[in-house]
Amino acid sequence: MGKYIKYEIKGSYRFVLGVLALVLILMTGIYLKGFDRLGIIGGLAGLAIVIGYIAEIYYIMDSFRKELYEDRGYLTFTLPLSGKQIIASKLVVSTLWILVIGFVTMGYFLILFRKDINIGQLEIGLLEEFLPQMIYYGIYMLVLGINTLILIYLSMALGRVTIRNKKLGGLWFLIFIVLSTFVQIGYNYVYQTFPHYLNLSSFNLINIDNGAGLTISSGSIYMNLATAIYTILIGIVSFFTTSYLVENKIDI
Amino acid sequence: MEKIVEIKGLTKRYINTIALNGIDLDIEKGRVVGILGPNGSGKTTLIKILAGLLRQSKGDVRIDSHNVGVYTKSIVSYLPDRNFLYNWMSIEDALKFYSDFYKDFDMKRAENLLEFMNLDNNLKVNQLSKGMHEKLNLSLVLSRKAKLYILDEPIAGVDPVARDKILDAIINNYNEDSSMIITTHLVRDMENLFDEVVFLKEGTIKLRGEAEKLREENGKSIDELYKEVFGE
Repeated sequence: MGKYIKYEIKGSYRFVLGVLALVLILMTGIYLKGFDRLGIIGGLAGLAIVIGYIAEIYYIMDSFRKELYEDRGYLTFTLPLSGKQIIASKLVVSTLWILVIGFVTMGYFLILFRKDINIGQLEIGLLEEFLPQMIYYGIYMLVLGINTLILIYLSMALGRVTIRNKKLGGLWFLIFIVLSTFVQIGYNYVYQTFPHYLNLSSFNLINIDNGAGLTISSGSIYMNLATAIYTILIGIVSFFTTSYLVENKIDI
Repeated sequence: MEKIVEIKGLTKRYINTIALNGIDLDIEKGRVVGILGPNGSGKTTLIKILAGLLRQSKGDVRIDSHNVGVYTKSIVSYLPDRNFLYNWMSIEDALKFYSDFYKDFDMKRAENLLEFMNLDNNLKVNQLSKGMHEKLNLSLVLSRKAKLYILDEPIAGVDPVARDKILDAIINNYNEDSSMIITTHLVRDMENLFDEVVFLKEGTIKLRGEAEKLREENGKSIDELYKEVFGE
């Protein structure tokens, strides 16, 4: 699997570097315009980061679509690798690139706007209180992002095997919308039925009515335990189903 | 004699057609078998099932006594009828890729084959012509010491010079301990390679036998027999 990860990285790093270069140039250009500090300029820089993410996610989706619909699948699916190894490798590399883009762009953002933000002037206590929560929040969002990716892979695999492996290009998107809707309905049902929340700073358990999967209240972030388990379960089921379809059902 | 491929009652259905209809076929170790038939006869479907790219609708397929899967992919060296390498690769990347994934890949043999084919390692895959692609793909596939080679139309669509090079490469690099399945409709160019031939028509086996025996019994070349069976 490590070898496949290596070649996935080799095949995609140029695109990621290109996206990063574009986003950093955009951010620098926006910063140099400099007629307003953190307000409009910060917002535009944030928008550049979002554009970078959209480009990367499009690339990740397109890369899997090509495996299923184009000739490169003849190489990938005749390698002595299981479906699980192929899907897991793709997820590892996608997650790696999402983290790289996130860290580099956010790091550059902080460097550009360091005078305006001036971290040194922030109260140390405040930073200590919020930083761990922000890290947990980041992990939670990353898990949600990976889940969405697996759901996209599953939709593409289902799109490929539906109607006896006929190549219907846009079908996967329709399947993705339907699957996402069902997953979201389940998510809402779970946090409404099990309103037990974990305070991410004190790790105390409390009940919150009318919350959501993640709730911010009085300067603390609360995570619904049942939806966290539900999200992980959905990810695991989607992963194994996609791997099974890739290994046993898809005709190239 | 030990069998490398065992196929029983193999059927493959698509929405409106039956590509393979209850085929039974065993291939013994060490044999070169030609699967012959016109376009649409089911040759590529059969080969893609053996390579693990298609799933049968019915029937059993075993390679080296295993169901098609990760193990069989590690012992089968498959040449598809298209350019299957990743576009970002150079020829050197493709060599390293094969060397990383297949324990039976012989780098020295690959370098010799590329030299024989006049291919420069630094060329990018997306810069190659159809003939160069065919030569590169075949060099990679033949550089493995695989138990079973499967070549799908290895000389289709290439010029006569490239065709000769490819045929020479197959003859000079074929390992006698291995088995080889070759599909083609260019029978005249390839018939001397075959120990055995299988004529496939509309998803069923129309004729099968030892190439030499068929020539003797019918007083015809395999190419002439092919034309007779398929009415060309």
